[in-house]
Amino acid sequence: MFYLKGAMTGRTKFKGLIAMISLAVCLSGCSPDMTEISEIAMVMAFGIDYDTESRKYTVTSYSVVPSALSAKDSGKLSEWVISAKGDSILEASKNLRSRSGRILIWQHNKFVLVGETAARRAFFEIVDFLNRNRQIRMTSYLLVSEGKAIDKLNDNVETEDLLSNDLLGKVRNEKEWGKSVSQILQDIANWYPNPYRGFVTGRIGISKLPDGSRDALVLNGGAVIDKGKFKAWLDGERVIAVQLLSDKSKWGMLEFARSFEFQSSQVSLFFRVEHQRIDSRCREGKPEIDIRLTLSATMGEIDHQLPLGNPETIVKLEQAASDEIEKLVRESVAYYQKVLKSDILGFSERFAQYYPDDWEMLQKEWGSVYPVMPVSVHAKVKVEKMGMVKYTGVD
Amino acid sequence: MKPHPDLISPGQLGCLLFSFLSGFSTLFLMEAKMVKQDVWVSYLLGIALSGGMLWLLCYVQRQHPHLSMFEVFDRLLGRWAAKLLLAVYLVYILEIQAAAMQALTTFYNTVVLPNTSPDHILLLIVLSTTYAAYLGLGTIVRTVQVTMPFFIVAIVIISLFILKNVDSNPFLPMFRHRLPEMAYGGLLSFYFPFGKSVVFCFLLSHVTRKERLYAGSMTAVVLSGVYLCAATYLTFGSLGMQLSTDASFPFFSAIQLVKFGEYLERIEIMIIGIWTMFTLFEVIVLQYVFTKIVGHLFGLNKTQAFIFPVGLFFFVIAQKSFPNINDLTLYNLTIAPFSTLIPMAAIPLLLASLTYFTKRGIPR
Repeated sequence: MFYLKGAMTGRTKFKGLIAMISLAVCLSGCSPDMTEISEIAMVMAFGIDYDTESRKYTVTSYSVVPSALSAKDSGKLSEWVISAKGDSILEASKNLRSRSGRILIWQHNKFVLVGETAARRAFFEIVDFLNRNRQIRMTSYLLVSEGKAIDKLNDNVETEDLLSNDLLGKVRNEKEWGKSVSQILQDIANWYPNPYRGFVTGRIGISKLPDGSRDALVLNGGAVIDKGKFKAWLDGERVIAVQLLSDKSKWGMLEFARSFEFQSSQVSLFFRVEHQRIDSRCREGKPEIDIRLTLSATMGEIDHQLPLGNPETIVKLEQAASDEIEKLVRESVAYYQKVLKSDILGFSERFAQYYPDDWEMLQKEWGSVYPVMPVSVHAKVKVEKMGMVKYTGVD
Repeated sequence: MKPHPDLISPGQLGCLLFSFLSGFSTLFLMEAKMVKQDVWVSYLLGIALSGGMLWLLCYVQRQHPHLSMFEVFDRLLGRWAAKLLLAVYLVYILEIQAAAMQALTTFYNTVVLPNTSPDHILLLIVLSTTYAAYLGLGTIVRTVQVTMPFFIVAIVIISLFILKNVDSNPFLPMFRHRLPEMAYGGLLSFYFPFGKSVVFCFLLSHVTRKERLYAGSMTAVVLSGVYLCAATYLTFGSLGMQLSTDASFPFFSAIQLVKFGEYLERIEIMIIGIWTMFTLFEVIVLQYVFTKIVGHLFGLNKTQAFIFPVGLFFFVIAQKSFPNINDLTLYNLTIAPFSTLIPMAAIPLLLASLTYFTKRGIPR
């Protein structure tokens, strides 16, 4: 700044030099927050388990170590699983350092696997820990593990890829079959303190390959969390309706298949949601939900010849498909209401938002109102494509 | 003839005021956490109150077009009373600069640089603001004009991406809070950010076209309100009401959710860079005005030599104030909305009344 004003004298030059040198301490290289890449291990997934007897948490990290010791090895990643116990999740995660020769970096973490017992007994602590930690991104997926999370992280994946990449691929594939639903931490953090609603997040398990030779990780179905803890498992069939009746981010790209009987043939269609609308109403203080779905369908397979060139057959097929979707949604919603008794679709939030005065009364008896609340379902399916073959059966 | 380097146009004043108000406004979203979906009512109240105060101050300046605001204080109040009230502004500036510097330091220490000493960050801020204040008002304003398009483009792009995560109108249901709650929210938003605009009364004499004073500054306040309201809407909509209320830095948390495609995340790092630059303008203006007030109080002709000592003073005050974030939150929610009413409302009202009665020839 001294140079800007008039001619430089030797003294001002000296002052300027001293000022510039003193600024060197502000360079990023001098920051204690700087970390060399050769010193780090990137945690890509981690699991939390809880032991009810010892009341201890186990944190297991699945990390990859960027190895660049030679040009030949550059870009290679080696997997690394370690675990540690502690009285709290934080303590257990800190204790991981005793087994780690590297600095654990959590910013790249994509998955949090919560063991079944931990989800039942310590879900509040887990979400609080995840929310509070600056290194854990809210876009990480939280999955509940059948049994212990540590077993899943130690399991090899079928694709021989990194476990985190494999899981990410499985999450990406959810929109192509609809029988699994994974939620990010942000949604979970927003839903779990609400005493009136529950939610469904991903369910991770191990299943044997058909030949029984080895185990494979699977994402199938969902885990119901209600009133701040794990409540029940949901099978894949029941999860489709969760996807259909969630936000557009879930159903926007969803494609799922259904098989049903039509004119003595077994027909399989795959569906896409074109439009979804859920209306909440309160009539004389009594809540109602009206669900309207518009779907497009593509023929997947038929096991007998059908006169598909006949427009009347298509109209009948569309009606049968609409009935099938209505049945699927109606039965699923009834299951959530009457068996689970958990508002996993967040209907209560709709009443709170659009009928705040009625909600003042409703919320006091929501537990008894929700299971018997009338829900009407209307689906309209349009069969638009017949697939890649022109053959349509007997006309 | 070369224009005076510290003379600015009404448009430039508006740009500076917008950056001054908008830098920090979205950091905590205090009033939004309090009145939730009805926060827009509080923002309107805050904007209306600030608009009123700005109108009074512009009116005072227009009636004394050839005087600086310091000289207006002297003329209307007398020398010693003017010094007393100017000292009130010094205290006010110290209060808000300490809050601003601590907020920025806390943010950096929590989110980006957990191992870096807060004093180190404070010192860096002071060095930057001192250099900027040393270069003068003209340079500060031109810098704002250069950086503002980057800020606006970055925020618009990020907002569009956040908007994708908004499924329903988060400002519904409306009017679910009692009037006193919304009024208190209005008082909060008057204190922070909109009421801070009164500091600009000391820059009004630098503006070339005095008849456009109010239009330029009010446009900035309204646009700042629009930005704040949009940020709150997007935060509530994408983060959810519960998480918005719980998060320490809600708008930042909403930005963290943005990703371009599957893997391109951590966009917030770029936004932090641009946002930090904007937050610094607040401290720069405060340091500039503080030095000018000190200069007037002590009758100094040249104040440049005092900019660095003032910076060090800011550093010490900020370092010793609000040792933890809860103190800052408590201060922002309970003390500051009332303690700052004297410089933000009482003194502008007094000045405008005196100007009005003096103009009408009614003896004081």
